[in-house]
Amino acid sequence: MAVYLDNAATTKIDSEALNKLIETHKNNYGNPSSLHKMGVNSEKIYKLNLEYISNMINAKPSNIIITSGGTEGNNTGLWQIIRFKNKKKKILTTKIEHPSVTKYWEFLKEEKGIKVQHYGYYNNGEYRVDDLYEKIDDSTGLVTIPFVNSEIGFLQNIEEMTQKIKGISKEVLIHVDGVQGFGKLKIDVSKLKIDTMSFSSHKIHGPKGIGGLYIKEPDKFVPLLYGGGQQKNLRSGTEDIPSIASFGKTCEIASKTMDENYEKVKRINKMYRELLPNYIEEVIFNGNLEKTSPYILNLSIKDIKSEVLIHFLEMDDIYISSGSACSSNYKGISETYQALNIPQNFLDGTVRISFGRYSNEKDVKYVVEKIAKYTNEIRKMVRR
Amino acid sequence: MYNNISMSLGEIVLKGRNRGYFENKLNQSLKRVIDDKEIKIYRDRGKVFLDIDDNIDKMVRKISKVFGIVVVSPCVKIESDLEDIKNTVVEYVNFKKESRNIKTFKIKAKRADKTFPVKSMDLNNILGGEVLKNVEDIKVDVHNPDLIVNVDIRSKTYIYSEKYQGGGGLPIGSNGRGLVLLSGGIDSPVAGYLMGRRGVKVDCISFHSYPYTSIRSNEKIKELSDIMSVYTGPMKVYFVNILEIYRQIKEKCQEKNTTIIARRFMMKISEKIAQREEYDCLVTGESLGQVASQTINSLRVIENSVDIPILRPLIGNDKTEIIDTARDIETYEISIQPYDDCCSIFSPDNPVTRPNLDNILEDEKNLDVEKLVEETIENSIEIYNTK
Repeated sequence: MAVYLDNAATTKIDSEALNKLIETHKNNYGNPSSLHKMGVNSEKIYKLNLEYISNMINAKPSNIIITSGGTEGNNTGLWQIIRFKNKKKKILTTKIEHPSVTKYWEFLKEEKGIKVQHYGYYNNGEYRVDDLYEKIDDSTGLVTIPFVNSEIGFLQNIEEMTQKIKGISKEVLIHVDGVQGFGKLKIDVSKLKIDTMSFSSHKIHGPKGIGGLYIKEPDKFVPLLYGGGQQKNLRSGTEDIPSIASFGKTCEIASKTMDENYEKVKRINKMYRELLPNYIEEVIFNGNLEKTSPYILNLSIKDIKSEVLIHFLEMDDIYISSGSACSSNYKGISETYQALNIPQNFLDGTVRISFGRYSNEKDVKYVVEKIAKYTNEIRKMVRR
Repeated sequence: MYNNISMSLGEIVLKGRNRGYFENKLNQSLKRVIDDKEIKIYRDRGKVFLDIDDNIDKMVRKISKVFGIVVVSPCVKIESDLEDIKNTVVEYVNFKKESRNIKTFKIKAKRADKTFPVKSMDLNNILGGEVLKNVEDIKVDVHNPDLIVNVDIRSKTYIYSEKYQGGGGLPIGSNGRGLVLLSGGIDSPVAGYLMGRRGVKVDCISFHSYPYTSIRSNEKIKELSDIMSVYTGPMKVYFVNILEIYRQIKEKCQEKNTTIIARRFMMKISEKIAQREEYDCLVTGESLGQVASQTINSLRVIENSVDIPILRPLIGNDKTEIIDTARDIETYEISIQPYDDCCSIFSPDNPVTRPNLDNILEDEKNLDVEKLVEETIENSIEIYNTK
């Protein structure tokens, strides 16, 4: 059996969610915009499941749009700076964002003259943001917050941050990249002063190609996509009812199992942190457990190449990742790692182990032993 | 209106008594790309033809990649009868006028069959007159016409205008069998293509060191060989894992010699497989001076490890020329994908550029070379057949 520890990249779909997906494709393929009975049935499914999805973060269904996933959600969130029509042109953002945030502000900078300023810095196992507040000024239109960073798992206290930001300026929009936290950590948007928050289905054992965006003020929202006026004109495109039904199911399950899973992965995460140093010399953990999501464990092993370790492990059907699967396609080091100042001889040996609902305590020792075995092997081979 | 494709052969024509052998090989290549038993290939006085009614453009494109063919033309085939020819030429000019703006034309008649009663020059006049009389709004221009109507008289008559370049060279299989050392870079697929064009029936061998290289780099090799096979015909790719060899080199030899010794192993393994599977030569993408292992000195030291001929079609080419060909044959985009190939992880920081054969041989004494070659082939070979 595969030991899949790359859940921050994507997850195995839950079997109930999968059944829902197939069943809905078979039986409810009508377009919810159609006038006939099949259309009506599809619309019912849509409404019901939108409720399950919005319940996950204690939002009203009218404050949620369904998107194609996290990337669209983040793009659309940043796009909201357009609401200020050039009056406020500055985005405040961190250096540990997902490329769907970074690449989009680069686009806005190029095409719309948006200015970008960074906040936050790495300090002693956490990504601190206390320098944010002094940077908020009259020109600031939007602040992005990576709720859970996808590479190291750095966790931000959104409640405190949003309080302070809105305390300084009520007008500033706050976009939260919620992709790595949604369905795993508690989020209650009714208590948070955020304007938009992206989330995704396939990171929590749901179907791929679907996600959502929370929007606090739909009447002020500027859509990214225009067309047939679906989703109350906020996001055009025929609704993918089978995926929505399946995502709804996923959320239903996730909300029931959230606490139990959280405790489990925290235990597993701790086990790795305790066991690995017993088996391998010179390993450093990037990020404190207290200041990161327990779903992500990032570490650097001296004098190995993480890619080689990954290939060794795949032979045993163990799957981990080198950094973030999205940024490891690019050559060069991602900004997150640059911020961390990992020593050069550790940097190449940086891996991410990320957990999900199917992760197991009983696999930990097995995986640690394999990592140790291959680390020794690789250290013999890779010249320094 | 087209109902036939004509093909002119290049160098085969010069092959005298061996011509039959070359034509036979060409026939095999054509049958493969045509892939339709209904379509018959036949010869008519030195040229090759096939009758075809549908999808002519697609077929012309396919044939333009066949080695041994210099020119491909879609054409109209009729009986070699003067009245027929007259009528068809008029009809043909009208047909061509439908698809583009043609104001001027020229007839270019040629008799491969000298028994045809009307001489070429006279035919030009007769057919030209016929067109002027029967086609509206058109004039003759012998210097720079919008349309050239070739009338090629053989046992049948063929009328055509377009001349597309064929694959050139000699038919695959007419010049023995070769084993291409395929690395995943830009050069080696081009080398394989070029030797294929000289008639060598090529297969490939590729070295990797999984898990120090990724599964994706082998997938890349498969993709490259699939593209090459459009020209070379179906190929085999032998994948060989040489990790154990690197391991032993690392343990027992000087670091600066790693690349050269590893290359010598690749040659030996390739030679061994060539002997077993009856290949006549090895083919590499080496280009003089491109990297440390491609200096004259290095080439000599590497070559010394084997007896089999090593063909290096790119030896005198500049990188830009190689890239141009790689773009033409559409391997370039795949070659530049950035997966570590088997050279990069084990390359020493300071490789020797002027290796000394005696030093290398001395270093190799620390290894059981024969055994390593045997065991590597025995334990790791995997074969991929192109699509």
